[in-house]
Amino acid sequence: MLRASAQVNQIDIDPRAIGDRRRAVGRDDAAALLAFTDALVGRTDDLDSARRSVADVMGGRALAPAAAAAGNFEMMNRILDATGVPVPASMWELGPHLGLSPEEGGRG
Amino acid sequence: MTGTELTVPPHTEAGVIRAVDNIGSVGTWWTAAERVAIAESARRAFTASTDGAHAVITEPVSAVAARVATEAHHVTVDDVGVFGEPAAFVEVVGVVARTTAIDTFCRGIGRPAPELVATDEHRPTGQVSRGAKRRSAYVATVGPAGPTTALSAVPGEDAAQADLHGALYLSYAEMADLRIVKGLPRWQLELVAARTSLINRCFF
Repeated sequence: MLRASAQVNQIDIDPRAIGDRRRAVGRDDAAALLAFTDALVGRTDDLDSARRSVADVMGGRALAPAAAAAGNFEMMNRILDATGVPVPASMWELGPHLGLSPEEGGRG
Repeated sequence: MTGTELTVPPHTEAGVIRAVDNIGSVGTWWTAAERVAIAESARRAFTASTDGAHAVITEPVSAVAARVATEAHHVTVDDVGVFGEPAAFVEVVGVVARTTAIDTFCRGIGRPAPELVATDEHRPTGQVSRGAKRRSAYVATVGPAGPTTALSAVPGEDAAQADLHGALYLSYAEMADLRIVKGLPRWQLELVAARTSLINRCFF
């Protein structure tokens, strides 16, 4: 969905930065959102600074929808994994495009 | 920046309030007090706290709630077997998943996690989907197992998931619109979604 929505909106980012955080994603707003998600979902101590970065780069209005989107996928990830819904083969093929190594789940 | 300086979209604010109220209400298999205890077990799991006796739910149920909260990718079909009735497991998954969603959202905007309060003393409804069948997932679903059907064996949980999904992110109908802007442009929402899923080791 990221790839499709970025394409239709003509947004140029490097999706490999999602899985390989040493890579540059290519846009300041995307970098701020990734750092915010890392801190929020990873439950690290730098959430305050990550929150400020999102507000500085994108404006304070971006924070609630970003936090809400992370919250939604915290829900969906748990539902899908805990109920054992099988991952479609097509999803595994996306691993390398997201910067994942084969060991990390980047099959294909 | 604190939560009070932020603008929370009204549909998100209202949806979170509904979700908190829902957790504190009677469910399909569990009473309101039991649902709150399940949610609190999930919360404690993130802090490795052992505070709070399992006076309302049993230790095995609390343990499964904690596992769903902190390592859902390690849940197996054996965890369903902890429960005599699979619908009881489905409800635990739903309650824990929504609690985690709400708490993540609140933490993200610098707001304390909301207090969960049991608001009624009715008996569980026992309403399950008669058409649900075990297919490719650990639990029965109505139709093929997927993101929008994973909890469909228990209509109350299925509906609560859909409601919070729309409040925090996009409604199922809105998912088809790749150009939608709902607080953020679609591609930014998807960026957060993709990173969240990778951190959780969920490759769906």
